Amino acid sequence: METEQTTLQIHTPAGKVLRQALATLLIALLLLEGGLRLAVTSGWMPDPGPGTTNADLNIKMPMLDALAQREGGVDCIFLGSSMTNDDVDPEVFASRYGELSGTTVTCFNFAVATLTGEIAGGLSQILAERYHPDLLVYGTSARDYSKELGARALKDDGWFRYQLGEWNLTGWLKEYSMLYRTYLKILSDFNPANREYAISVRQNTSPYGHFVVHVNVISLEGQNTIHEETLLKKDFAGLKRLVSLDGAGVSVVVMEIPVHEAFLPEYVNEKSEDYYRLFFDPATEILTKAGIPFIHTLTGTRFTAPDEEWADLKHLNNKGSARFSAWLADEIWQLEQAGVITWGED
Amino acid sequence: MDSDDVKVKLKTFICTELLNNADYPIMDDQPLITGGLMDSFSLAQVGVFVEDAFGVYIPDTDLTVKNMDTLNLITEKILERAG
Amino acid sequence: MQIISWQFVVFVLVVLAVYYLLPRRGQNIWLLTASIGFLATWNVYSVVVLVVTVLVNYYAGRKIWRGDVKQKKWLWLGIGVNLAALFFFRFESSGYLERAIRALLSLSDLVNSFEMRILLPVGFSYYCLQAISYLVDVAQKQCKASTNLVDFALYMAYFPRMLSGPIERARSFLPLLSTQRVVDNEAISRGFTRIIIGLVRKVVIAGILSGYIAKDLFSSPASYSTLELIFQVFLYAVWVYNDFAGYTCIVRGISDFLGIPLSPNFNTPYFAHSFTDFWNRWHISLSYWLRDYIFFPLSRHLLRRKVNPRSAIYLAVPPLAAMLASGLWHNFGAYMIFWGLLHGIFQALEKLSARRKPVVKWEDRPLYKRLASIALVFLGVVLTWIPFASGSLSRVGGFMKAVFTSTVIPDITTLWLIPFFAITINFGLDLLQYRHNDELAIRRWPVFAQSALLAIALLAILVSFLGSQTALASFVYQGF
Repeated sequence: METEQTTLQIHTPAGKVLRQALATLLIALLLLEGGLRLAVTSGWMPDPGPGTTNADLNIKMPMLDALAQREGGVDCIFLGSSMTNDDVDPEVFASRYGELSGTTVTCFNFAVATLTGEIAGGLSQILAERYHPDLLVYGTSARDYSKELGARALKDDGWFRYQLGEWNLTGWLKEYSMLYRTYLKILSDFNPANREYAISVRQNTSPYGHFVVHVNVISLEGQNTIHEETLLKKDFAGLKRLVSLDGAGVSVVVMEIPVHEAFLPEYVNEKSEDYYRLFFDPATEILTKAGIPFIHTLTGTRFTAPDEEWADLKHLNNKGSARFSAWLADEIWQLEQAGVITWGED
Repeated sequence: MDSDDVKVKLKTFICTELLNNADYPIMDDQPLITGGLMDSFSLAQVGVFVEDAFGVYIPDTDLTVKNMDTLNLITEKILERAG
Repeated sequence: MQIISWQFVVFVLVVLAVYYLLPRRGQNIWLLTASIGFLATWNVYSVVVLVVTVLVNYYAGRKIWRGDVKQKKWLWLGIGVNLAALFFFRFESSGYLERAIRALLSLSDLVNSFEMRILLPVGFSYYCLQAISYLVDVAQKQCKASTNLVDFALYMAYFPRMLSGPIERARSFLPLLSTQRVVDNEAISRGFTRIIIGLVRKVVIAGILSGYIAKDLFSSPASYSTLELIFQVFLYAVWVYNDFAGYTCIVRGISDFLGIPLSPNFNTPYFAHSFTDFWNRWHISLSYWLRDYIFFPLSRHLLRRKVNPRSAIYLAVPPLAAMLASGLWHNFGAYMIFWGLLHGIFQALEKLSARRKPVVKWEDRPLYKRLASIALVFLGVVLTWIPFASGSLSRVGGFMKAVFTSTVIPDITTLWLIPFFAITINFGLDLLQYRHNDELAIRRWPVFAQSALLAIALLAILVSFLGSQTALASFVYQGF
């Protein structure tokens, strides 16, 4: 009969190389983490940002952190897609608002390119919890409720989910490990897919988060128009989530972000009535129900800008954004005067 | 079959037919395949030469570095197959 | 279940834990169960094909072993069935059969939206070659026909090598299954080192490089500069090597933990000094199979028919046939046939040009000549990766045209340094292996050096895993 030996015949001590390697690795990681934290807190190195899948967010969050630290907090935050990103200059807004109210406010434009209603709902909650602004202005348009766009990837991002209360390892690491954040920043900087975009965002974004555009191309060619039967429910749900923040220390205002007059009839299904039927009316209904002011730019109180102030048919250039931001400050001031919102009082 | 006889015949064949150099000084334990002197084309030739010269068939799967790398190994294989 | 996944890590740990507790017979049954379970995580259909293939070949092997006069009949029948199945699955998965059936059906306008596509069963092209080698070896009395169905099934189904080899031989693998396995400190250390090297190759090197190889390189080559096109093909060469060699290292490491050593598949192929040498270093288990069952029989047949060994027929026909078979084994596309033929032609030309020159020992050649040979073979191999990677012959044409006519200005940035970094790690690993003729040469280093290197390797692997989530996420910023 065959006598069976055991297969596993390990003699101790074993795994010296592995034990030494793990110890070395642990010490090296702790030293690196400590070194990087020191470098960032003492200003030798810029904060790498949370390393999400969204380059705008990664760049703007350290900017907002720095601003909030410098100014002792932030009073108002603008949120929206690239349309808000290009259209709202917080410096102009704050200056005009200061003239009207006699108070000094600090504002930041946290708009993220291709942000949709769904993501705006989560992002607004994160911003409100982290920075406690008095005023949150969400600039929105029909585009934010249509089809899949880039920033939707954020909803699967570990950091984004972690911030919204869903614990996960990468989210935790992105929030707390400077080493991991730095690593992701390096990786992202070297990623050919988003490198050029990130460089452009860094170069053209003001310290207040405004993406400054100087071009002026008024043409229907190359403009994405919406061709949809209905707009997305999940994005309207995001809008509801955003407006539900109103009240707990923050006033929420939603504005209809403008498009060029010539574009409106083409914008949704090449019928201007579809813009109202599919976007404007459902949004108005949500806002009315929640008691949130809706600043109109294309209907009633209109915002108009001459052709040379448009970057393209959906975005204002630097000239247009200066005019729009001052106009917006007037509108907000009027809402405050009418007692619809309260903010900005120190 | 005599081992030395086999080796002499093999050596002559390898030097003249495979290495194109009749005077090549091959040692009995010199690596031929791993030493870069023989490849699979030459191995096939050795296989057929062994069939013709010694009436011994070495199966294709035995034409390996393990069995055929030196004169000693090839001779051993031939004698084993013949035996 | 993919090899690089947490599920697979858990699977292997469970397999090992139970395996170490069982006696040898139980271990084989357990490994077979685990292997079938592993295959079933891909699809049950692959399990069915495997079971049928195992039964057919087991039976054929027994028949061949028992029979004397009629053994040839069973041998050819067995080989025929395996080859026919491989041919069918390859033909089908290449889409030819679907097209043929559609063409036939549309004649009578019977079914227009008829959906049919049978996938190549997982691992079939690998274990099918194992089955053929088994039958031939049994017929030549090189190996006894297995009398143990569990062991034979495990030879075919063994999960570490199921997905992409190595292609094992029954005569060396079956004896391992009938003896007591011992996994001691040495085996664990070997296996662990292999897994780490494999992960560095597959996750770090191939992982980095895959991010730098343009997905549309062959579909729209005109949008790249000549320099970028050439650079990308080089990246592809290093990527495809590390991806495959990395996988092989990992599965060999896992198999070491089971006390069942698997055959090597790569031995610094890009240091090959001739095309024949390349095939002794690249996908070795496949290339040895082609050598033993196509190249040698054909070469010896020609020589017996008194074909001059210095003639073009002897020097060209066997390599062309073997490499053509290799191309067809990979895929039935014309581009793969072209790839195989290119390799065959390179080997034949190499032999023809040297057929009357005295052979000089590799070490006796001057250094510059050795380096030149290595560089030349590498360039030739890189060239063959173009059809291999392109996916169609017309794309090969488009790519070559773009290489010579592109007017795009190359966009050379610091980004190019990252793939160079990956290539350097690959070169370091290869050089170490080449100098010591041992892929585990790192284990000869002092303990502190091994520890330091392991720490760096673990960090690189960790970083690549964590980073892959970000790197793979697409950054889409359309005009909004």
